[in-house]
Amino acid sequence: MLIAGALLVFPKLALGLSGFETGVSVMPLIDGGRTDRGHSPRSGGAPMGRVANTRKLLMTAAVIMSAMLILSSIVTTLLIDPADYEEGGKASGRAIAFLAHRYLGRGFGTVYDVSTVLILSLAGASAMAGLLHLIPRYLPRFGMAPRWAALSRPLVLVLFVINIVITLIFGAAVEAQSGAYATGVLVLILSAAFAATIALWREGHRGLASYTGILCLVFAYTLADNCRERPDGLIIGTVFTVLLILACAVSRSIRSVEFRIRHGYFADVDSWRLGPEIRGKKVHLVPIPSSSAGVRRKKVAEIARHYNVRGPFLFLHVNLLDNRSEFSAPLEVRLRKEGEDYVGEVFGAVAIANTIAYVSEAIDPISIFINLSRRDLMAQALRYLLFGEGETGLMVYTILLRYWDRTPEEDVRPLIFLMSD
Amino acid sequence: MDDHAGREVATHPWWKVIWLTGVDYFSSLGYQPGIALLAAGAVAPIATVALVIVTLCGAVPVYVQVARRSYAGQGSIAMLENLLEGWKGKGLVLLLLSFAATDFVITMTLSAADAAKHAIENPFLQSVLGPHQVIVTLALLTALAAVFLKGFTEAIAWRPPRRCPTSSSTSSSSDAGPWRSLRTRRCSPSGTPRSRGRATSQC
Repeated sequence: MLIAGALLVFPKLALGLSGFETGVSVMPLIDGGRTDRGHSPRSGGAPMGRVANTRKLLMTAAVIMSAMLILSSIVTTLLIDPADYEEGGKASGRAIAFLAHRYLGRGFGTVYDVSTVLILSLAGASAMAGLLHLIPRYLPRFGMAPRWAALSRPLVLVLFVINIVITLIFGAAVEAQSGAYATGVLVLILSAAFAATIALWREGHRGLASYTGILCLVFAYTLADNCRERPDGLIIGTVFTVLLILACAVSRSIRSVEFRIRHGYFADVDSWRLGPEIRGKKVHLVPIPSSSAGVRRKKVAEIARHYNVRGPFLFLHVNLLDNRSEFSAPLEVRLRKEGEDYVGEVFGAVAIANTIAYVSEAIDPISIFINLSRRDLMAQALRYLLFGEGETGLMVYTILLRYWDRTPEEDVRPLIFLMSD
Repeated sequence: MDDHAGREVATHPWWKVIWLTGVDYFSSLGYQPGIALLAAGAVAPIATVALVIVTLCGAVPVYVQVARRSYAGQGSIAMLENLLEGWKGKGLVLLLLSFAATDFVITMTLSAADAAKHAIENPFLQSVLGPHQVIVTLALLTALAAVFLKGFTEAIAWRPPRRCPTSSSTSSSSDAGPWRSLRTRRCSPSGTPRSRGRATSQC
């Protein structure tokens, strides 16, 4: 009965699980000893010495903390009156300090107070430093400009404002914030357990995977119970999610008209030799959905029906990345000559229009012939943002315009023909 | 897989590094016993034992596994990011990032609030600070932000290096002009063999 009751209140204590994520994040600092002497980060494979020492670190920290938690819990339960530890009581939020002052005198109590204030300040500083390096690490992948996210001072100001708002909401009460804290800690620990389970399962360690799977359930129960009783953390987390999604969506749509190509390179020597031949008003750029001879012939006939075009064509077939949620990627270019015309295949594109614009700026063609899609523009805009497809012709024009606006040098501008079919 | 080829950082024996983890972990002793008491009353020690069991038999083994797979310090978020492709993975990361932010932000506000509590209840400081818990907390948070605005990040030697090369190079090159980058790349005509139409989900 007693134990069942204790297990029921356990979720409220879950914030005592904090610190493990930090334990892993400081891993690069841990010396691997003799085992890792020959280890190179490029060769792959885990530095086993460092992993083993991290295990020692995690275990030692957990044992020290466990001992302190149990001892402090016994001492505080036995020595503090219920009236004192209630919210607003003298011992609330400072149970050990309360005992130190009462039984060991003001001098020792003050020493304890000072050291607690110091270590709590360091905890705050480490949390701030952790966030300042977590955010720039992930947000650029969402199309958030690295220079925005990496500017640590504006980020500090944003976090400062958030801190102030949250402190005012909770009235700076220690106990009131514990639920939200536990939620954050539990989400991280649950995600760690989940990631470990999947990784172990894939590696064939079925036994261990089942064990961590059960742990997932334990943490999931704890999290659910916590969120039910104190939804503060869930609310704060949701607000952060919405803010982050908005920030990323805005940033990504603004930046979607950049070239979004880190760099381009030729795939082989032949392409590299052909490269200079097509630069500088030498060819007409014709993007096509497939580079087969039939499609090319049809396209030439279609263009010849409406325009009197001289000069070779460069047929460009853009192969998109499988994962187009990426913001940018390097581009691989293959060129070959077919009769008078050239055929270009590019691989690794995140969006069709940006790639065409990029190639156009790279070779300065005489003109570009692009088909219109006959579809709803709003839907096309969404398809463009999410999957890099969409109303290509108009987007190429938009991207090129932006680029011309932003670059100081004299622009060599191609004619752009938008063809309805 | 993650890009582990980061720049080298000075390493230290694990029993020194433990105190960095400790500031986050051990500092919760300031408020944890009180919260346990309030939640569990007289059975607080038993609930604490349950917590200790979950810590030793749950959290430690899980994070040992995470440590084995994310030894460059990316933690579980990076591990999960690699499990799901495309927008699903991105959405999950955003969600986890938000809750990690919740964790870190509350670490700051809770630590500041508890530090303020210790300060205003101290008999020597009581007369100076008065009962202004909120004001002292806000002052502490302001001091924290001020220190970081002055450039504490640069001063923290233990800050793990950025792993993902994209974070510094994503946009800078795309605006430098395609012409120049194609031309400079021309110098290595052989190119690097790359899996076509597919890139690693990372970066």
